[in-house]
Amino acid sequence: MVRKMVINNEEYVLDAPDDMPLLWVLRDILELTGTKFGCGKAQCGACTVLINDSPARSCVTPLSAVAHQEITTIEGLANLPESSLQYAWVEHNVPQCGYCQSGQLMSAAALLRQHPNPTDAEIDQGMSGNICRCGTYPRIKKAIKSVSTISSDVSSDSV
Amino acid sequence: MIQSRREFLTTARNGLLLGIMGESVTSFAASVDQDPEFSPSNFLSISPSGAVRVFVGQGEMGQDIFSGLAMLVAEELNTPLDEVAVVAAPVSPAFGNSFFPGSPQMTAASSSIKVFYIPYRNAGAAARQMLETAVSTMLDKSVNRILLTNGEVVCDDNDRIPLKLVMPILADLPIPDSLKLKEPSEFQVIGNPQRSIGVEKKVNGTLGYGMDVKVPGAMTAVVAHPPSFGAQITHFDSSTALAIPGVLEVLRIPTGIAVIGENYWVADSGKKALDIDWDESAGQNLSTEGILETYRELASKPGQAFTFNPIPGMDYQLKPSLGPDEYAQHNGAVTIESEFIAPYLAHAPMEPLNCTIFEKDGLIHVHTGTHYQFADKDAVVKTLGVDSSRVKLHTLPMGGSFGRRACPKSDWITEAAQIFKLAQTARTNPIKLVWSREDDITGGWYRPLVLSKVSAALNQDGTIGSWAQRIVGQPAIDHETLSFIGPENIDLTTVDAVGNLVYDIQDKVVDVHHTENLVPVQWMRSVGHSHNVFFVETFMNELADEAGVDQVTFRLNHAKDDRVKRVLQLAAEKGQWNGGLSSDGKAHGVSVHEFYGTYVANMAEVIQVAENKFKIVKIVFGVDLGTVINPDAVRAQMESGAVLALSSTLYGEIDIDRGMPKQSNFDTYRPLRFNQCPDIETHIVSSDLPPTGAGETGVPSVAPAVCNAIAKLRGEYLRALPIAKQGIEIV
Ligand code: FES
Ligand code: FES
Repeated sequence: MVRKMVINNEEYVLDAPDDMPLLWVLRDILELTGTKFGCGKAQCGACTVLINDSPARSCVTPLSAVAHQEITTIEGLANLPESSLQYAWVEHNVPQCGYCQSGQLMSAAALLRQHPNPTDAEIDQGMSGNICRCGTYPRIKKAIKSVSTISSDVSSDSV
Repeated sequence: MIQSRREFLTTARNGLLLGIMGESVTSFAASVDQDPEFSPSNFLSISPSGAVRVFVGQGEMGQDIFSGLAMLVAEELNTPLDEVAVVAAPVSPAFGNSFFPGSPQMTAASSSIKVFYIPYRNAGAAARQMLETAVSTMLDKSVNRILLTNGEVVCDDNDRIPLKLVMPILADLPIPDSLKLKEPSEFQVIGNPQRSIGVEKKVNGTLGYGMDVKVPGAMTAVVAHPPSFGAQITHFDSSTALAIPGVLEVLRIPTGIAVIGENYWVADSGKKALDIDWDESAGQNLSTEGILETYRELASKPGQAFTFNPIPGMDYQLKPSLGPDEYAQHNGAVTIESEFIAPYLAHAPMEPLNCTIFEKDGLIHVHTGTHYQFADKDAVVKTLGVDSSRVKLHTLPMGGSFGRRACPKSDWITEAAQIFKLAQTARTNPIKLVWSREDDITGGWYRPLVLSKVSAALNQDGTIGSWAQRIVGQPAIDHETLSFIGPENIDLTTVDAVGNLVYDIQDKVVDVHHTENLVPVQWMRSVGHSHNVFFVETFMNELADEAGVDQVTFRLNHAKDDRVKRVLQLAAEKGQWNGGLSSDGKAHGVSVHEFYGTYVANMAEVIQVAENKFKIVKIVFGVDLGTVINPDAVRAQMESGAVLALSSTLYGEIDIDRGMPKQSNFDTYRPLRFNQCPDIETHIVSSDLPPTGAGETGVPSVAPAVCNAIAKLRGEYLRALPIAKQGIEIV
């Protein structure tokens, strides 16, 4: 069916069935290929996007479930406050092959939304659904911590 | 360092013949202008506006070879690294890798830096020398030092000349007679940590992997592959699949039934709707258990024996003839023997395999992420029966590989070519073949399942008197594929790390039984080392314990050279080696190996949190890879090797039952998760020896070090992987 969607604050009109997973709508219809296919089974996190403020595995999210929701993909991360994560990722030279990193960044953005200064346990919990076969976990951890430290400095300054 | 003119000219002339300039290529950096360029080598071109392009034939899969080679050019050319773009080169002998006989265009065995260290520096040096000559002529004085930046040549930190004005003079200059490379003391780029070129594209989702190829009109193809190895189609019905809106075509191809649809989801729905009858009799008796039983039986019989001199690299010697069963003969006081097992492993790179293929203006374009372009192009040429000049392979950045994207039989690319050849849709539309994760994990081309029996005799003084090792498994490489595997179809990588043991043991015999079955296998990151270092280094601990000698000391006592000793001492010192187990419950395990000239030692620290539940606290590497180009890339590769190895140590196994892999996705083929990841430290030996590689070298030492630490806490050696199968949990 023909529908309107708002993704990264832009409006798209598309024709796709209700049960088509959001991942394939993004990738194959809208050509927003930053969101990656890794497992198709909610196991790897490569396809993570934000739906409103929460992380979602787009490979198992049917289009019907996201009607009238605010969707943010990696292409829209630069416009969010959490874009500081992208700088931190570059600063810590996190990516190797890079394929998992869109999902890692979107999960990290969701984590910071929920916990602006996450504890180690919160970071573990927020990030353990995302696989990185290249093994960038230690650098991801450092990058997230560097961002949350900055924001905590900022908040203490403003107090 | 001076290179002869003749040697260099060969390269330079090829460069002109190749006509690389202006081809459509995949770039990791900003777009470059297309004006006539200055190209003193295949590896380098400079546009009049100063855009420096470095052409790389090696595949980029996350090991950061693009940055490494660009650094070499930037160093010698005297140009800032961030002004250098790296471009994936076309398939051509000019980009062959001389590490392998016949110089195929291939990225493997951590050989890229080793092989291309001098050639890429030469390219930069030639350009710099020619620029120096040109500006000296223009200024009518001798210019000693140039810097190329922002489209200008800065001469002796003073005069600035727009490159555009220099170009006409450059065009008439000969390639220099001799090239003067910088001395290590002059290095400004080499040896300094550099951020990966193209990292920005990896954090904003714009790097185009094979999966992201956008060609107008492309249709997605998926394939229903055999459910078990050797299964044959007896009958299939495509009507339900074809009834799905958007499914365009269903066809039989040699590897299964292909379904072509308007997008992946539609094609995949079509695949699920197919009704296929399979004859699965071929694999009925194929199981891990059965294979191991056969291997055990073979392990009690003499195999094909090798003799070894301490020869570096792959240059092992076959014994002239089968000897008597030397395995059983030992000199020494005490003999101990153990059996080790390493399972089939799927590489499972994050990006599932894919390949886009179409015809345009008489050329057949193949877009895929690969690091064995030489074989892949050939596979397409043979499958389609066309002249090689009609096939153009575009090498794309890979979402990981771990060896999978260098398949000796180019399996997925051949499959894409088959679909292209047979499908009606391919006559009008580009075809994009996409594998599911299940296709990947159940599809074979695994690291072989290997069983090894090791036996050694200890002398009265606690030294090793003799070492005998038998290795049983399928060859990872067959003779037809690569000539380097040695005579009589013996895959020499099977004895990696055993043939060239890092210990000096005079009386050593190694023999091999190669087996055959329906499971297709190939190399995986670190190849034979991936299993053999686990076997050897676990056994070394057994011997040390038997001799009553500290496990680090025991290794040092037998180390074949100082580089082995140095990395081991470095890891032990930085990890604060405690002898194995301290009173506060910290268990330590060590291991050391050499991977084609790179020396790696590792110390793991593990604590117990509950019965059979452990936490890996840290992994500490000591590494010697000669001259280091990019220390940050070395650290990244050690971290990467450790995580991949931990995944396979804990969970990695393709377990086969009735010809069918029991694992199919990341829920059953589990990788290490974020919360389980230990701290990983890398300490690099400073050295000015020629550089060796990093990419695969972090993998082998991890399993034995971790298992040896856990063994301290459990009081029992771990001789089979993965360890989760033995009830061990890692939190
Ligand atoms: S592709 Fe969605 S979680 Fe893996
Ligand atoms: S960077 Fe390659 S999978 Fe994470």
